[in-house]
Amino acid sequence: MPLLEVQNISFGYGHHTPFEVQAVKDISFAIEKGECVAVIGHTGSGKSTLMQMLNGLLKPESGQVLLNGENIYQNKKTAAKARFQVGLCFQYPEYQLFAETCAEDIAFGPKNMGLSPEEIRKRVLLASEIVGLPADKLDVSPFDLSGGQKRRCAIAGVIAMQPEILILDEPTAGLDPAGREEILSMIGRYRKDRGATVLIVTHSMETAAAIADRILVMNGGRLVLSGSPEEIFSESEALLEMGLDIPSFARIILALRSRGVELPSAYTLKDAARVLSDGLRGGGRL
Amino acid sequence: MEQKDLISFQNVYYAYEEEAEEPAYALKNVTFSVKEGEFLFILGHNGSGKSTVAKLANGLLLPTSGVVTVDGADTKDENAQMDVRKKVGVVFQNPDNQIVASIVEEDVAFGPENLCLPREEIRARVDEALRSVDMTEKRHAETYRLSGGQKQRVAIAGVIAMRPKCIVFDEPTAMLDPKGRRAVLHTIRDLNTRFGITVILITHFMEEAAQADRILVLNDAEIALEGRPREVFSEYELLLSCGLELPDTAKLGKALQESGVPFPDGILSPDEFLEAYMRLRKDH
Ligand SMILES: Nc1ncnc2c1ncn2[C@@H]1O[C@H](COP(=O)(O)OP(=O)(O)OP(=O)(O)O)[C@@H](O)[C@H]1O
Ligand SMILES: Nc1ncnc2c1ncn2[C@@H]1O[C@H](COP(=O)(O)OP(=O)(O)OP(=O)(O)O)[C@@H](O)[C@H]1O
Ligand SMILES: [Mg+2]
Ligand SMILES: [Mg+2]
Repeated sequence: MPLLEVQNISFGYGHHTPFEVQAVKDISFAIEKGECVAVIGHTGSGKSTLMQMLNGLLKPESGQVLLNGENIYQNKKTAAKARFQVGLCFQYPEYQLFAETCAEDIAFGPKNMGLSPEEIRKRVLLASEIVGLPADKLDVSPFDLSGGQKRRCAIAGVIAMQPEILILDEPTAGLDPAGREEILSMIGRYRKDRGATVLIVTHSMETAAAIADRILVMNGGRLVLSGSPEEIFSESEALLEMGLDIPSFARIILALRSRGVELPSAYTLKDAARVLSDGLRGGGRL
Repeated sequence: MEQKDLISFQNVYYAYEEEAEEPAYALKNVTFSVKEGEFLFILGHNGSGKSTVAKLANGLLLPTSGVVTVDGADTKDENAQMDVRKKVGVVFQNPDNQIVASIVEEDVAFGPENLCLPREEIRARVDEALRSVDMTEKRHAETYRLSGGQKQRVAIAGVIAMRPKCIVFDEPTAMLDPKGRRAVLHTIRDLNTRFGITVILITHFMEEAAQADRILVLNDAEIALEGRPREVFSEYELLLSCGLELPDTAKLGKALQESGVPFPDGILSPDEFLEAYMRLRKDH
């Protein structure tokens, strides 16, 4: 049985108004325990709406979300339980941060889980260290943080709950390059240490290629492609048509191929460097 | 021809809480200037002070000490404040904070209306601004229903309609899909090259900065580095210590060098990369 299974879910905004939008249209997929799945799609394709339906926040208008085989929208209790098991970090941290200080903000989830004060303290410190929020910001209001610091604080609040499934909506947007690397390696460690499952929404094709076992592609509210990074990024024309792209490293390889250089595909920095250096050594070139 | 300075920061310090016993400075002894017509990028780690520079540049914040001037006028001079706001427009980090009206064209008209311009002039500016960001078709749309990328363009149009001499863009592409990113960058470059608007662009994408006239790197509230892209990106170790990186193309070049390939230094653009690689193939 998959850990999380989505069956034919749909959701629309502004029903019975002239501005009705069907944001998510009849989507189904399943995620196994321990998987890391990236969701990509043009702006407005329904990614954030879909994510909110996975953790008990937004009830699908039709279809079901099954966590360990149980419908999370069965009743209030199952929906509340899902919120602890599935930690969702919002795209705009402003929508998530609300407490007087960052420390209280990060402690909010663990407090609601009924943990002891010592345990909560421990988790707040650990989580803020993991996301690289400077310690002197813990007693500061989250509204007095810089953009990237707000995002780090919001991610810490979700990590502190130590959820079984971690959903991050654009976790690296607004982060500096070092912060992007830190968050990505944090996700890797979190998966390894806890056997956790991760879903990440991103506009960065490089991030999706580097981190995901599988990529889901949304377009106009529908799930249009699902596959390994290799499978997805071999569809470069379809991706461009949907407002997406292939990773920058893969673009360089494609450009060299169009100049007649025979090279296998590569999508990440490491693979591209290997393919390109082999391309010079091969045929006795180096 | 020597261009004149449009914005200049002289020994600027800024503390959000001046009253504190040991005020934490968001900017420390920052001195730089921006020439008319220039395209300047500002890079720096989270919390390094970039957005604070943006807010000081149009007088929204005033320096704790030091001087900021716009077109020769001190931003602290109360008589100059209106003029400073007119000359320097800022597109803030989160477009949601910038959009004030519920209909697209009303939102774009908001700034010019505050300048107390005649109606026909406002109309003409709004139409032109919407055209330049390719949002004419959406002029009657409700702002809250726009996607992230569309909101970003409306926010840009709102600033363009003020006809400022300089626009500061604070991470304008952070929430955009690849196509939206390209389109917004293209619009911004057009504003600079076709309309001569001075641009200051804050970003965390090193690839974008590779096209700058000049780059300013902030680190812990201070200027760590300043120069042309080629100069700045040749300081690999220093950039890493500032929480930054090389553009992807240069990263790939570096990875090739590390695997023993005699790949040349200083490759920034994809085109340069292709040329360098093809040359290596020929040579061997
Ligand atoms: N609160 C809302 N009210 C009305 N329409 C909405 C609301 N939230 C989203 N929409 C619309 O629903 C559609 C899907 O939006 P959603 O935010 O899920 O897209 P997304 O893929 O996350 O986009 P982005 O990449 O810009 O974050 C869009 O057309 C959007 O305009
Ligand atoms: N309203 C505020 N009150 C108090 N401190 C603030 C406020 N806004 C920012 N700061 C602090 O000032 C410093 C500089 O912030 P600033 O927003 O300029 O950084 P930034 O370089 O734009 O960062 P980012 O890349 O995360 O957007 C940070 O330490 C931040 O926490
Ligand atoms: Mg979204
Ligand atoms: Mg900022």
